[in-house]
Parts: sequence; structure tokens; C-alpha cells
Amino acid sequence: MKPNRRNFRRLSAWAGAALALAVVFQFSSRAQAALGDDVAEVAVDQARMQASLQVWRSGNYAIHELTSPSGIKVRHFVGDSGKVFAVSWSGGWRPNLRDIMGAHYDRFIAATRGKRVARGVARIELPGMVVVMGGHQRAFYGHVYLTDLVPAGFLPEEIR
Amino acid sequence: MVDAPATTDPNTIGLIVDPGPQCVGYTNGLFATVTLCEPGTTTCQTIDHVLVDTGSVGVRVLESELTLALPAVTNPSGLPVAECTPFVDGTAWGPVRIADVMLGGESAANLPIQLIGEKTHSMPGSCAGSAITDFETLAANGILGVGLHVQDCGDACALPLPTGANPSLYYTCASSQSCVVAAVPLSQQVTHPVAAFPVDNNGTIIKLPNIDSSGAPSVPGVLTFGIGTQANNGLGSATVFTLEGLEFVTTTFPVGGTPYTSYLDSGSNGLFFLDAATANLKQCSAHGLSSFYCPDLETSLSATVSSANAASATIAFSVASAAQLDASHFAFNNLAGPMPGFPTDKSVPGFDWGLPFFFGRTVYTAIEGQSTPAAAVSPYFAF
Repeated sequence: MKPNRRNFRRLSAWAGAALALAVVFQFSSRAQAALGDDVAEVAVDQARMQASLQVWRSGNYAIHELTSPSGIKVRHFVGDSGKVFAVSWSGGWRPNLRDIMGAHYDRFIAATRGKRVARGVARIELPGMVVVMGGHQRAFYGHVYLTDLVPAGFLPEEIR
Repeated sequence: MVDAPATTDPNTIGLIVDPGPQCVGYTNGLFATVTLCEPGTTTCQTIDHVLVDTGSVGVRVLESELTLALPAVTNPSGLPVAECTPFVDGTAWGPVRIADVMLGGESAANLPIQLIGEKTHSMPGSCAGSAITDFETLAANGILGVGLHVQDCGDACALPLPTGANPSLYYTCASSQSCVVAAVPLSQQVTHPVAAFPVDNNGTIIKLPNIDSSGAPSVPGVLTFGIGTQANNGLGSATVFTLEGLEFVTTTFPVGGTPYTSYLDSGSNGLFFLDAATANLKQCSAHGLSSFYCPDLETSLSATVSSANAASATIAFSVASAAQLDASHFAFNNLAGPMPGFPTDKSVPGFDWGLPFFFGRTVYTAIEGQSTPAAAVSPYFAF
């Protein structure tokens, strides 16, 4: 038997197909502080997660950090426009990605469909949006940001 | 594609790194063959190419592969239980069932396992993440989670939902279309099959041979059950690494340099560490390979793995270009990529020692709460 296919080649073609599909999935609206929403919605998230809230400023943006009773930390990065331009998470379990990504969730899902290149890490780049995820059972982390909403001079490394 | 080789000792099973089931072309996938039986019967089914994963806990098989009638785990009202199981690259959905699980000469009776699929219950909208519900999305016939814990979730998933502390992995289903999050006791959660063995139940050992830097078409290995319980599973000269937060060791890179939070995970198909700038390695530019490094020349590196019990080991490893791997090979000890989200604070690990780390080593995974001959309290890794 001579294998002539490798998973990541086959799958890179799928990723391309998924990008085209993304157009079909239009944004849905949700009542929480997801990516691209107003900072006022963080309170909705806080109530839903029964989380404690800490807020601090870093340069030209603010960080709203929610800590849930299950120990998951979710940080919302908020620019001067009052929009959430990035969200990061860490903890024993992954927070609900639909809640984290809001209107952008469906196109994230469309882009990941069938995409299994690296096992154990994930980096998904979409037009205007980057998602990175890692970890394993009982230890998850990741972040997502909208490239068009990040403040001037912001570096992805500042998302923590 | 061949099945994992047979072994003779009853507390061992064969492993194989090969292109995966249906020659899907899985790179650095470590597979075993698992036998499931209807509880208390000799009606059994053997499932090959189940991914061996020290980063998760419990037996999961594709619902589409299963020919057995396995009873459902049910809540006190008789409603069947299902699970929404997060993995890094997707979320596995499907019912929780009871099976007798046979691994070599050992068996775990009445073990809660997960079937992956939507045949019984549709994946509810509240179960978020990229769906793993079929062969296409799993690229394996199942997952054999032989990680550090007894249950996949543990106490948190048994907590009452209104507290907000339950991570919402488990569901109960009133019908195929209506599954809702539920608290599920430990005894009904998907459980480590080895922890449920009557003997040799305190951990596992993965042994894989060294391979050449050009990789190999397939590599056989052995999974042994028990640590220090039989003549064939002693710790020997292995160093025991206790774990911070029950999960992590410290990796210092380069040797004498910066310490990073890190972990071992046979289910990660590469060494994922740092970022291109910090590691001084070129990231692949080819479409579909951006998760990997592509140095012009194979690059030799070393790091120190250590833990709070003063254990320490120097790890020499190398990174080859993911774009130049031999197309007829599916096992590589030098496939690596950047750690997503690095650099950041300590909540993002610096190193994921994936399958390439396991070649040429004997790696022990001791299960939380079980006693072993080591002075250290489980869970731990040793190698």
C-alpha cells in the first residue's frame, strides 16, 4: 500500500471551500457582550456566567475581566468606541464560543468545518477575524479578535 | 493502514502510528484497537484506529461504527444522558452509554463511554464549537482517553446548575431534538477505562521506538496498564514529574533560559511551542500549514523539563520543515509549530509536548488519586 494523501493537504482544500461558504451564513444577533458588541453588554455576560467583574485600563483600551464560579476567566478588550474588539479565555473548561463570538460565531464554524490540520492547537484566520485556541481537557485557553476594530498600535500579543 | 500489532502480556495492547482509518492520511496519530461488549455478555465488537490521547479521559467511539446495542446512561427520571465534550479543535457530541470495555487481557465492566454522533440526539445549539459528530470531523474511529483523571469532567459536572460552577458538559434528552444541560454524578460520567480495571488500574505507559529524522510510514508501540503492579510495568529509572494544578510541568527554553508552563499530550500531533520570533523558527507560509514551523534546515534545540518535586530532564529535540515531509511517511519526531496565543501571561502554556516527544521514550501517566510505587502523589507523568 502506498499512501498518497496526507491529511493536511486534503484539509487545506476544505478550508478554502469553507471560506466560500462563510458568505452564506449571515450574522445572528444575541443579547450578550460578544465580539463586536457594546461594552454595556458585559453586564449581561456577567449575570449569565454569575461571574465577578474587574475592569482596568491599558493604554488606549480597557479590559473587562469576568471570572466565573467554575474558574473560567473571560476578558473583553474594549476600545474607545465602546466596542469589544477582542475576547480571551482561560480555565479548566472552554466558555461557550457562541456567546464569546456572537454575530461572528457562524462564520467561525463554517471556516472550521472539516478543517483538521494540526491536532491539539487551532489557529483560524478569517477576513477581519483571527481565532487561536489550545490546551486539552481540563485546561483550555484561546482568544479571538477583530482586525478592523483593534485600536491603533495594538499588537495581538497584548491580548492576554 | 494496518491494525495495531498484537501483544502477549495481558496488561498490554499494541499501538500503531499510521495514516489512520480508511487511509485518511492522519499525520502523527497514535492508534489502538478497542473491544466493546454489551454489558455482561459476549456480544462484542472490535474497533480499530481509536486515537490514544493522554490529554483526555474516557472511551469515545463513532456512533456510526457501532453495531452493538449499548444501554443508555439515564438520569433518575429515566432520561438518557448525552455529552458535549470540548476538544481544542472541536466539540464532540453524542449519547453516554454503558459498555464492557476490553483492552488486551483487561476489562472495565459497565463503563460509561461516549458515542460520537447525532444518530440518537441532534447536537443542540447550546453545545458550541466546531462539531465533531462523524468520521469526516474526527478522522479516527474513536478516542481512547488515557489521561490524568478518573472522569473526563469530575466534581464540577455534578454541581447543581444554578451555582454557575458547572461547566455544562452533560445533557439529558427528553427527545432526539431536545437535550438540555444537566448535572450528572461522577458514577455516570465518562470514565477512564484503566481506572475502572480491577487490577493494573493506577496508570498507563506508552512506549514508542526511536525513529529516523526522515520519519517512518508507520511505527508500532505498546500501551501497558498499571505502574509497578506487574513485572513488566515498573518505573525503573524513569523520573517522576509532579504536576502544577494537576496538569502542568515547567519547560525552560533554552536550557537555562525562560521557564514556561507546559504539558505532555499524545493526542497533539506536533510539538507546539512558543512563537516564531521567540523560537527563532520560520512559520510555514504554505496555505493550510500555518500551524507548523518550516525552517529552511532541520534545527536542533534543547529544553529542560522540571517540576516542583525537583525532578529535571534535558530534552533534545529537532524541528524540520512541515512543508518538506516525506509524503509516504506518517510518523515524525520533528513536526512542530507555534503555540497559539503565545506570548501572553502564564495562563497560556509555552510548550505542548505532543506525539513527537513520545518517540524513543517510555512515558508513564499516573491517574489522580491512585497509588503507585513512586513517592510522589498522583497524578504525575514520568519518563
